[in-house]
Amino acid sequence: MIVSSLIERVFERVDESVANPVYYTREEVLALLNKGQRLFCALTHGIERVSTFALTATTAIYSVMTTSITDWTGIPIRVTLSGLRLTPVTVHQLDALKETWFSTAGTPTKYFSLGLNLLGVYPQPAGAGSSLSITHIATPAVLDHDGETPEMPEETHPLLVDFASYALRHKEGGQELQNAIMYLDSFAKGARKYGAFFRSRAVAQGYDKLPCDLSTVDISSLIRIKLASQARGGYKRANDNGQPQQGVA
Amino acid sequence: MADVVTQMTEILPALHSLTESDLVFVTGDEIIRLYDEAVKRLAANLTLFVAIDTSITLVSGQAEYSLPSRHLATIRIALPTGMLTASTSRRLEVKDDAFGTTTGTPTDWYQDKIGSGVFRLYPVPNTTGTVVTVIYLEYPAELDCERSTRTIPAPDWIVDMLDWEVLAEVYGQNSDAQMPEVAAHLKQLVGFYQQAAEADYGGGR
Repeated sequence: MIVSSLIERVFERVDESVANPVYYTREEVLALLNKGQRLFCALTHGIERVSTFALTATTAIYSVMTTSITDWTGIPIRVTLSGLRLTPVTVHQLDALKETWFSTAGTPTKYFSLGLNLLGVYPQPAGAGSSLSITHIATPAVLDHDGETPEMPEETHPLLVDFASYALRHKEGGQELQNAIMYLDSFAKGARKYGAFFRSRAVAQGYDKLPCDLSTVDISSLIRIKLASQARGGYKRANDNGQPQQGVA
Repeated sequence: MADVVTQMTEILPALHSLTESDLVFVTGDEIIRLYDEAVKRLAANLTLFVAIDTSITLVSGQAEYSLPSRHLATIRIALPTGMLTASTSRRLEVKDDAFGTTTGTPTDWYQDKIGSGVFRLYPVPNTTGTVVTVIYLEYPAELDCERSTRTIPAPDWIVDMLDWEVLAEVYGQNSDAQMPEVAAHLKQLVGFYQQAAEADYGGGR
């Protein structure tokens, strides 16, 4: 579905005029569609990209996000050097492997990632000119005009409508938000279903990192809103003469 | 990477405003401060902002060195020859009575009982000029109300989590626009994001 169709469906869900919206703006809905897309892709690891990263001689640890890969999310899932796969390790494992791993030079055979931005290789390259090919989880392209199509699979696009329809109700709160929670439940169930699919695919393909196992995440508290109880008694309503009546609702 | 002013503009509709000047129950400066607090919590709760510092060089006879600014926790300290062992003053005391003054090529580092913002090496270096590499957990530069520091160095989906966190704080504030049920729900939503983020990045310090 294209963005304009998604926005129209959201407006229909919240009973807003498509041609002349009053309570919500198209920009507001578009922002929420983007949020829904990003959350879905983060939960399922649905967007993968392959990027090239140049190594520097005698350097073991590199800054990635600030250097070259702009849609980097800090989640590499497969790293190769000249076609040979590097083994994922942790810094702790390298400490156990060799005390002087940090300064050992050679052809990299292992890699590790630290936080969002740091990527390290062992051994550090002895000479210049080599590049890593990194398959990584990426941020989906931002949707910013009507003719664009989300990168997510087509059959998951209604989940974006669900997420935006739910999130629009935040500013109304109360019963409106409580009624819209079913859309969040639908989104979460869809993410769980596709997350399981992408997870099993990642296992089959031997990726170094798997998406979060949503089947272990309890969302029951997320889809339940407790409204503040309304005040009882003391409610005044005017009688036919315009005089307030105590305790009459 | 995100810009805090851009993010604030994005959440304005949820606060019944189209521009910052339309805001009634909260100001733009307050929102920026809330973002800054949310980023600092993020830094403590997730292993996201890991930095590497190579500006420190050994000085002969000097055991103590300052940690980098915005330091939260030390992950590793290394010399060109290799990683130093993370130790404690108690362990070093058992090893060497005079651990505070013994000189040689450093093999260990420690941070306890010496105050904050510094680390010490054992043995005390007897050479000058060797580069010390510090790998550490940090928190990003403070987002200020003057709008000079505006970058939130996190993936867009993590920044979305910050948006919900800020909205939860605003909706929870004591004002005529208070919506405690929405604030509580958004905190649950942030918790949901956090669980997914911990699976990808690991918990904080």
